[in-house]
Amino acid sequence: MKRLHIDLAPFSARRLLYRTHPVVRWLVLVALVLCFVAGLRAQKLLARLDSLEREAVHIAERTAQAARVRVSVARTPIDAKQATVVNAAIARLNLPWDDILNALEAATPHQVALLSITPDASRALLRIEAESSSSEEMINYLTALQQQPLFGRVDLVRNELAKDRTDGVLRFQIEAQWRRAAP
Amino acid sequence: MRKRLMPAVPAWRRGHCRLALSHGAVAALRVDERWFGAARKAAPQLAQRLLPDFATAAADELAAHLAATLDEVGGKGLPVYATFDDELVRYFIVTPPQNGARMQDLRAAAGVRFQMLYGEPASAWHIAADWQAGGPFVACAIAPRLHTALQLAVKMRRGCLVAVAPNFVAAWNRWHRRLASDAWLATLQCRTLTVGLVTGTARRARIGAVRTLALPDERPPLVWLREQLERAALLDNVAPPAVLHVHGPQIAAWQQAASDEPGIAVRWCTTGNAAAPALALSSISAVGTVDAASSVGAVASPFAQTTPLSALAQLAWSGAAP
Repeated sequence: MKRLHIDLAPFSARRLLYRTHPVVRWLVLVALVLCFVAGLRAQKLLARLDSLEREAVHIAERTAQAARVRVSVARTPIDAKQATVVNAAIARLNLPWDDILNALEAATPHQVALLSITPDASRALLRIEAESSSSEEMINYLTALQQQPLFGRVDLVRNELAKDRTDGVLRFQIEAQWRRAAP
Repeated sequence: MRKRLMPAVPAWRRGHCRLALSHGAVAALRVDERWFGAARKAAPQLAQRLLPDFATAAADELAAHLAATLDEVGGKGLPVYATFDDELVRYFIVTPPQNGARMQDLRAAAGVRFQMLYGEPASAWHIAADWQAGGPFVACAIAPRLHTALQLAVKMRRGCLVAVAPNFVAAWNRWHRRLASDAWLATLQCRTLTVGLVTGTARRARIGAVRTLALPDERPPLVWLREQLERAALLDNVAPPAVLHVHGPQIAAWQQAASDEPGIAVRWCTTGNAAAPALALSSISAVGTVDAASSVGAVASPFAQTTPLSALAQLAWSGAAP
């Protein structure tokens, strides 16, 4: 048996309110309150999100500004004289001591005595003073130096026979140019 | 300040009004409910009033009487549940057209059916129905003057019409769950029995016809009722019922013989709200009687407290309600 849906009352919002079950009415009220609370919470969260976004934009702006400053520093033109001076100082400081000493050690035989080494960073030149008992050993030493990959040109600058001792000692000076490492 | 504010919030009052309209009379019942605890339900206020003839009186005049009745029970601003006596309503069954596609088709079918049955133009009546496109449905027609008057009266008192239903429809909606497929429902009111004939079986059961039987005297015997019901079943080509549920005042002659004799049994639909009998004995502050001798208008007079509710007040109580 079905219900008869016959009602002569005109439709109105108030009628709808009275026709709803009290439980439904309370549920609707509770739902509305919850919606309101949720709205408040959402608004608060959105405001927080907004402020965070603003902060992020601010930080990004600051980072961009900082980057721009760095770029501008790099772009300022440098005085040519100053540049050469600075470069010379840097080159002097950047002597490849380890490589030079390793190469020398590898090339120097027992028969040759090293007296002094003087580097000239501006010309990448190493002035070596050494002694040996014979000229043959000196020639051997020169070729050994030339075979080192570090040194490019190796020249014998001068040689003399030291006479202060009984057996003649050959004192000689070599200029070796080392290859600059690629910057 | 408080005095100025208080009349502005009648909506906070909980409670409702029940109106019953019958030929020449109206009854209003105000039921108060407290905010917490139904146990402290106050005694309902009752007012009754004679009405001018519906056929001649204007809607405004009727509305004024209805509004005055509402005033007597203090029903200003309250939701109103109105019940029409079955005598004011014409029930009929409408079969929807085969090719009907729209609501207008159903309305037109109802109008044609009404004109065919009663020989009056349907435009002069207000037709309401349980619109169904798939099968025959119950429709009822009411005088538009009465309908308008009721709306006007409730509007004048800033109330709200929540439900307006004819007595049989209200009773059916209240009891339809308890009806078995071989049972019929009838409403009894002032020597008129309105019977809903049920056709179909089990799940497909529906109201096949609504017939009105006039009682020959106050308490006709059960035999008469059985004869009438069987006749109605034969006329409408449906199986007679095993049980007839009657909604309305009880008739002792029908009840006593119901248990031992074979044939159609009669059971009474006692209102679900047990307060109804107690209501008759509780203190009613403004009891009026619908007395033929009393003039139209001044009817509300304090009466003996044990006066049982009149038939119309019973109708108001047991009709459309939340």
